[in-house]
Amino acid sequence: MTAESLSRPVDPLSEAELKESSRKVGLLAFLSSVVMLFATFTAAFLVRRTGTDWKPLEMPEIMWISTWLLIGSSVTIEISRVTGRKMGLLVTLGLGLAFLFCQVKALSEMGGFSGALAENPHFSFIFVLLLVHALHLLGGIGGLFLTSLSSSRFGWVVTYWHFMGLVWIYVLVLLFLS
Amino acid sequence: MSHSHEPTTFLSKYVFSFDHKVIGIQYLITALFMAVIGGLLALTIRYQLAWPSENVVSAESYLSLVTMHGTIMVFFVISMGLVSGFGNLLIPLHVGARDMAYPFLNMLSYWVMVPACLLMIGSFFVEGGAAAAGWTAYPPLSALKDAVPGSGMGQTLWLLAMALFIVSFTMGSLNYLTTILNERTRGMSMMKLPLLTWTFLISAIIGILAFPALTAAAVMLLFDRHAGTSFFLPAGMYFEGTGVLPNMGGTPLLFQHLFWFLGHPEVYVLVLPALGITFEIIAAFGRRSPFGYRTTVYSLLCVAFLSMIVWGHHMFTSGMDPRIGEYFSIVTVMITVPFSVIGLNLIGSLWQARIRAETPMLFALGVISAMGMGGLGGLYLGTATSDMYFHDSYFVVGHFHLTIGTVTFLALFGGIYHWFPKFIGRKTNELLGKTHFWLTIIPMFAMFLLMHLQGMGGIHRRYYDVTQYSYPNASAMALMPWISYLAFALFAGQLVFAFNVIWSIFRGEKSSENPWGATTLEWTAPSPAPHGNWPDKVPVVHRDPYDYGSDGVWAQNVENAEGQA
Amino acid sequence: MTARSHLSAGFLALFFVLLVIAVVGGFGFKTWLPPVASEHGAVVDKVIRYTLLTTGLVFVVGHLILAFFIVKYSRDERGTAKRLSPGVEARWALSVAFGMSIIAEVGVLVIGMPAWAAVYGEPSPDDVVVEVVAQQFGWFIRYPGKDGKFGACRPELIRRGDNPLGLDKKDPASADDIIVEDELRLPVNKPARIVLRSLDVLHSFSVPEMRVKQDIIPGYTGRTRFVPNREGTYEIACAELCGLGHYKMRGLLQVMAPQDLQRWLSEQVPAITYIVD
Ligand code: HEM
Ligand SMILES: [Cu+2]
Ligand SMILES: [Cu+2]
Repeated sequence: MTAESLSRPVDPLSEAELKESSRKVGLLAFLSSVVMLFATFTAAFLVRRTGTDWKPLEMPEIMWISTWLLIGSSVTIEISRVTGRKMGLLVTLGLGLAFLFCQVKALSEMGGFSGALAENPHFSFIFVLLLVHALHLLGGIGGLFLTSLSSSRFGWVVTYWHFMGLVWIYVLVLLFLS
Repeated sequence: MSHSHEPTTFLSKYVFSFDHKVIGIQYLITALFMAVIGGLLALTIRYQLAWPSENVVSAESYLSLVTMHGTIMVFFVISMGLVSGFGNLLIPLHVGARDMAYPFLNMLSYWVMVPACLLMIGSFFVEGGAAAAGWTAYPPLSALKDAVPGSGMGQTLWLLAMALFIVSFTMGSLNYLTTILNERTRGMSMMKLPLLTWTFLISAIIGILAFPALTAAAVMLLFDRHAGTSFFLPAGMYFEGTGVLPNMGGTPLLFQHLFWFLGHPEVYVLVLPALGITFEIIAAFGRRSPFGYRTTVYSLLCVAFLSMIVWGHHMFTSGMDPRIGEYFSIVTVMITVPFSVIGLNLIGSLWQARIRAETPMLFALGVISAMGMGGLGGLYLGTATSDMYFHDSYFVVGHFHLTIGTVTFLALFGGIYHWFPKFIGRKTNELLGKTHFWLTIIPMFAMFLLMHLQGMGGIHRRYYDVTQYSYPNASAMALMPWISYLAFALFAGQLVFAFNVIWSIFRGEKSSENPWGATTLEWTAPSPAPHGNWPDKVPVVHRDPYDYGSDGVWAQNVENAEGQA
Repeated sequence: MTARSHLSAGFLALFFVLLVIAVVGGFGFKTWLPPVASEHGAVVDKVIRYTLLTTGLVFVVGHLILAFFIVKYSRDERGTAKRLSPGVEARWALSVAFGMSIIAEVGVLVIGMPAWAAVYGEPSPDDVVVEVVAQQFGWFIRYPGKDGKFGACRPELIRRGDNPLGLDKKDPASADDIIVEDELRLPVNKPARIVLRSLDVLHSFSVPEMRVKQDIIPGYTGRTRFVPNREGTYEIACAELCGLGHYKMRGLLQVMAPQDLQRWLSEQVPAITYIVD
């Protein structure tokens, strides 16, 4: 959004260009919404952490692996975008699935859906935040799949994927390193 | 352009339509349907309140009725009718676009809303009944079946329905925001947008930024309910029969903060479009440009900002830190600043006007009055000291019904009468419309003003039987049945509206393109507007939205005084 | 412009004038508030009266102008309004906004703040301290006894019949605690500090004549403070939805002469004697 475009001195762009720029605006707005969602969880986390029953947990080793997987997937999607080869999207998708697998594994190692979830508030937050992030990532995986099938350009999915990677790193820092 | 592939089958034209106008009408009809349900719930509540000894409903059902009435009216009637309904109908037409930015997402948003409605209604029929913890759903009450029966399955469905609602509303908001910011026609600068579209933009921004707080709260509440976590549940809660619950140190107050971080902005999502509709109607029927277009826009932006930092005024007595309470009180009453400017501009817009007091205008003038009274009433509640007395009393009930109930409903009706010719191609009947106006405004104003008096008398809200106490002022108690009579009268009066609308769809006087001689772009499209809105080129904007000059009235797309487009 | 339109405009103006009369009559000429019985309550009432006066004035003036404009400008056949420059409009906006914000902040800060500070301010050592514990759907009142200390309470020990608050016998402070149901007794003209706890869900301690309302949060110890200044019996209501019996969670507050309260207290048996092992 530039001052120029806000005052609309000229014809709107061609239909394709308009679609493209609208997509950017919409995506930005959606990402703001996601930011607010995680900001809310952050506020809740910071408040709840001051409780007397707070028992901090160590970060499980496997989360390093999932983090590197997600970082790797951002690299592959970027390569795919630069080279224009859709094959890279499928690789990214695979890395995304591997990431989700590691997340599930991490959660079940820490106690899964059994008693631990209820007993340790730190784990409750880990569980909920991982779940919410995973659901958003699943949206990205769906997008990767559709984009790799269609003949159109890469669209929103690259930005979204990078963004969800950043969100994961943020979540990780918040949960374990803050 | 999208109008080149016009849908042909019934399904694609009327059911899974991508056309913003069809979707808008779908939303409006659904909202009116939900309004009937919400209204019937209100009548039952009123019956119980006025004649408690007859016990028309049980205490369980009563709490469910209150909870569901509030939830349905706020989210499924007003949000859906004013924002999703009118927003869809008007935004593309106002900005000079052929459709929303993402028509498919738009269709999807409606079809996510439908199951949300069904879940909400369906929750009445599950074991334990519908949610009963109030529309605010404060835990621990909303989290524990032991605390109230409605917190069983009913509350789960309530949370799921709200989640679907939020998903749908977010999709809608993304569409409104993108369409308004990015798909304006040539010449349509932001400062040439009709004020109604400005209010839709603000609503969309609030929707995008504030609703996630409720999503997060709902997720955590679901976990507290079903996975035994303690986000909001403290240690040591004791219930007879169950004993001490195993939860640990959660904080119930946290939920209230998250809820009202959404809840307060949400009331502006409801009220601002109502004010926008009022500005449109007043311009068209007052034949003058609204007083202070710019100051109105700045005030709207100011309201949007302030709305995000004042949520604590719902929690003055909640036990949060009193210094924070004082902060919230100070900023809350600062909302008077933008709203008094908007009020000034609404009244100022009548100065030197040439008023044609037809049906839509009557409703719009009613909105000015209701907003004035509702806004001033807010000062009693925003001042922390007096809120210690008024909190959770009938004063609050009267206050929010005047603002998010009366202002919004009057605007909803006014808007329907105003834009009916555009979307149906026929006018509604004037005489019936005016009758409906009087049958609406008199009972509504009377009812909700009397509730203020009851609140001054000290009557608490959410009481199944208010006669249990003897401290309230006797005259305040005596008002109970009268308010109920007024509510029944109000409901009966709506039959006139229903008849008028249905009759006019088939028999109403045929309308021209621009029956009111208004200036915004929707009136340059045929009535009813076809798929793609304008049969040939999209209009180009040359003028301010309300160019009611001394030498004539010019639509926004008129280039020169000879009236050539 | 049709004749009917004139008529409607006239009716509406008339309606607004009648509304002004009704509202001024309804709010201005009758005191709806239950008679106040606490020190800070008088300030609360002052805030309410101040707000009634100021908002009343704005309401009356606004509606009369509205009615006047509706009549005047639905008859006038003159040309359209002069366009005011944005500067003039902005000046109007600023003056109105300035006026209203002064009205509002005077209510909050100048008049209201002292009462807020009295209720939430620092406790003083001469406060009479009483604990009020809310439960679905009633109130327990606990006096600390001579030692001035409340004994520890533990939810696991709660037993409806003999130990409703889960008083811990082992705590020496428990020995002289007095617990009664539903009736709070306070001395007149002495600051009362009410310690608030809930055993289950949210409740709110509300005594309309005292102009006191304070939510009670399970898991937290809350407080409120007021000086009752009129002897008599008042009702305690719950003001936060707490379940099916919310509407009948009625308690009583008796404000009595200090020596009467002393006498009454000396007649009570410590709660601990009721607890069977
Ligand atoms: C049209 C006629 C209406 C009537 C007669 C009516 C009546 C009532 C009554 C009697 C209550 C219960 C008050 C109590 O707790 O004791 C109530 C609650 C409520 N109403 Fe309405 N109402 C109407 C319209 C609306 C509208 C249009 C809205 C819109 C947004 C609305 C929103 C609410 C809300 C949010 C609550 C609070 C629910 C709660 O306590 O959880 N009502 N209404
Ligand atoms: Cu609010
Ligand atoms: Cu209660």
